[in-house]
Amino acid sequence: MNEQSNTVSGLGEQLSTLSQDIWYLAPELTLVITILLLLGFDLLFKNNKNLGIFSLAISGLAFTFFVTIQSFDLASSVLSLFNGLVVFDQLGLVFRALFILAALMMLIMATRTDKLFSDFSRSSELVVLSVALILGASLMSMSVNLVMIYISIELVSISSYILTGLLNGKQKSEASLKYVLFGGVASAVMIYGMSWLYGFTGTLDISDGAFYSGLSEVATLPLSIALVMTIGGFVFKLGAFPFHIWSPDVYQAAPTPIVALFSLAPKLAALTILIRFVNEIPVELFDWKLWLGIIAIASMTVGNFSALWQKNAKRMMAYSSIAHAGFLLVGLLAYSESGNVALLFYASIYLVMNFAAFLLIQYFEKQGGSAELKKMRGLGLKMPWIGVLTVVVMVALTGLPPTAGFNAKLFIFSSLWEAWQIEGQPVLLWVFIFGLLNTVVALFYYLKIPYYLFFKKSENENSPITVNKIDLFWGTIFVLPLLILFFKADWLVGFLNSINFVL
Amino acid sequence: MPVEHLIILGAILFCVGLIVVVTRKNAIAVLIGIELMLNAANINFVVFSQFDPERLQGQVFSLFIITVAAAEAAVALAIILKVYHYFKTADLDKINELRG
Repeated sequence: MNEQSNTVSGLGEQLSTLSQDIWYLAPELTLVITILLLLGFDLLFKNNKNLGIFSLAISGLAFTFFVTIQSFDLASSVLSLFNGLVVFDQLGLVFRALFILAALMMLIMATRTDKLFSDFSRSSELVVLSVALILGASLMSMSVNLVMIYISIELVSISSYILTGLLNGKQKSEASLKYVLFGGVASAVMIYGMSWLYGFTGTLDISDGAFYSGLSEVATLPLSIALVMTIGGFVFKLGAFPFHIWSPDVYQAAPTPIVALFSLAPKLAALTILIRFVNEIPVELFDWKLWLGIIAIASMTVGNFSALWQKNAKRMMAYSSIAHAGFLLVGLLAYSESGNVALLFYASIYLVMNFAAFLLIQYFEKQGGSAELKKMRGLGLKMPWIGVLTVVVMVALTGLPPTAGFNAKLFIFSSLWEAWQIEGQPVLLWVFIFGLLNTVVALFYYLKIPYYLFFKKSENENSPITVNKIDLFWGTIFVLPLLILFFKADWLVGFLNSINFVL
Repeated sequence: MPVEHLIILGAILFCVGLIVVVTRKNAIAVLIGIELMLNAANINFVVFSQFDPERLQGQVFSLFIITVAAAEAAVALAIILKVYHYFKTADLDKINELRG
């Protein structure tokens, strides 16, 4: 009887901690409420839903962004919530703010084409699933428990599978089938690796000391197999070599705003999981820097060289995003305070330049009917301002001044150089050399788009194109941060420096 | 039953699943292979759960895996249905519009 009352009071205590902790997840709660409101709206109204769906989604996301910024002060010290399921810190909050910005930019992109606008607003599914993807990515960016990591990765994955194939089209259905089969295998391999990690340690909480000490007692071979399997699942979401095979097909077939979202949210979320996960691996037994270094070198090289031969701009951007996954891993390899700042800076710039690139590609797609490069011939002369913006974005993606892409690459490689000088691991030097060589390779294919725009003759000379004023406005707004942050990089760096990292 | 046998059962199940995924050309057969691999992980989790000081974590995890696998299978079957509508086949070798 006494024992029973003890458990009851224990339960009461747990429930009161849960009800306190839930308020730290206010951004996620607002996302869930947005999803519910969208679904309810979709059921209640029959016609003319476009305005309602977009205003609900945009106001919901804007409010979430506001709440995320508000909770920044709360996270001045790192908190462990829900008995160690998630961790609440400023690193996760920065990533969550980036995800919400990405979703907002995606919605803006979707309004710029009539067809996409009607696809997005015919029913609320595309918008709801995008918000669900952002919810999953937010949870990924703060989970430190294997169950939580698995559930949030699957939330992102399943939303992505449906988003790829929801609209009608032969290519879309094929891409989503390839995506779901690759994704299923990757998550099955990951979960089998996780089961071994659980067997070694007896705990699912990776931030628990028992996890680290449990792993330290295992022989190298079984530990390496289990860790390679688990990290393989994360690398699949990161879209890096060797789990990149699905991405060109998905990027080519899926609607452009959704591709832009895919190229950002799952990648950065997987990166945060990796940041938290490698922290708990005993380096003496498993040299994760070597493995991730090889993955980074391979992704950069494979991505850049495959992109050289592409004839479709969206497919080319898929290989570019594989290469960028490699560059993002460089920041992780540096694994220091300055490395993390560089990584966050790179992630923010990557958000801007990728969305700008996809927005401009979407404009050309609207004119030419598809994202084939040959359909873009001569369009730069007909739409001079859009053409100039494209040149800026492509220069930024290559990583040359005067764009913030240069600062991002500079920061990330200088932090890697520092790490190499301190630790002297040869793999870091190799990543450094390959990264610089790859930047040169990247120049050739990124500048192919401006080449087609300005130097190739278009088929029908005499048809002038009038560009919508609002299109020009959004194009400029998306590109402007790249130029501003080149000259005023210290604004963003100063803010990122104030973030407390726990390593 | 000794623990080793159960772990070996899980490993065999995982390998069979992986072989099915790699060798089969039918999308539904590949999906079955994925389910086998997930069940191998489930067996491992339940077996390892008895060494857990808190006893339950592994078993709860396997419940989550079963639920998510059901959701994933539903989505995958819906997608296969859609692919069949366009290609009139579920043979992965013949579904190859996207390449390059």
